[in-house]
Amino acid sequence: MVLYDVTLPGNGPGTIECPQLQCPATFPNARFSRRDIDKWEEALQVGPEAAKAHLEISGALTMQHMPGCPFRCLPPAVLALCGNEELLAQLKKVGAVLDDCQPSGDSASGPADDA
Amino acid sequence: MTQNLKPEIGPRVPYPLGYAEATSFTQTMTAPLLTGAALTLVGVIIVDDTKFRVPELTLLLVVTSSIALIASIQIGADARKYLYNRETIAAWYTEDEAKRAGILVRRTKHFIEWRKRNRLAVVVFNAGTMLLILAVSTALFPRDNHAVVRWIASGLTLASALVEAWWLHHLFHERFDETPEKPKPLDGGT
Ligand SMILES: [Zn+2]
Repeated sequence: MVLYDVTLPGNGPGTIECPQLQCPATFPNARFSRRDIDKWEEALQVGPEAAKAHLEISGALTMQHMPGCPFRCLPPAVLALCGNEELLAQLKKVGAVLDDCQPSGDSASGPADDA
Repeated sequence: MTQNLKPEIGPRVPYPLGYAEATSFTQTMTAPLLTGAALTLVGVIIVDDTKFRVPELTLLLVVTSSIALIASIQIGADARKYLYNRETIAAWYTEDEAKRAGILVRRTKHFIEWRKRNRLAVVVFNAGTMLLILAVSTALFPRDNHAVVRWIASGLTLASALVEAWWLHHLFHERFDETPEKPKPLDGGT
């Protein structure tokens, strides 16, 4: 705490949270851009291996998602920059490429903030 | 293979919830104070630069620091307009109007924009404080090599700059969850 007091007023860049309501996963708010999302979509088009490699490089696999969290298969840039509709569309895209990431059989519930 | 849960998207909010207030405080209270201090130092050097060992370097550092701090005030204010909560929406729209106008969808987009712009304000603010510490450190360089106490004061300031740099690095890699020892597999690691 003493260290904190003498080094203020430095400020952190903020944190992004997993969009899933009950999921505690977080990631530092890095300098994300739409270009990161384009690269992710390119990797998805190449195939499952490229998608997995991209997820690893992006830091997605270091996020502490709850078991079965549908958003664990998306890179942090997507979680940070996509609105709710786009997030659901991204889940469908990744589910079509990575078997483990297929959305559950139930239809998605209306996003709490877009109801 | 883990059964995936149904996507249930929560509202986008600052994390932790007090973060927005904390950054707003640095941009609206701390930054103007530090800018004032920096500009005072500029005035002192311009009036009499013979008292400083490296006046040009100190001036350069302190001027860049002021520019960065002022920029953080402005970028922070620009970002702040994108951050509002349900209370603000309720003050301007009835529930039905808000729904029909898609205000909550817009709020999500605005929140994402705030987080992006506020990050820039934070980076610029941090750069400004670092430059100011370095400027103070060079201003303390004694003209006389034997002024041991002045060298100690300058060294301490430099050391505090290093601590600040370490602290900022820590803040930029801060994780609120426990970092797993190795990356989890896609099946959720269960
Ligand atoms: Zn999650």
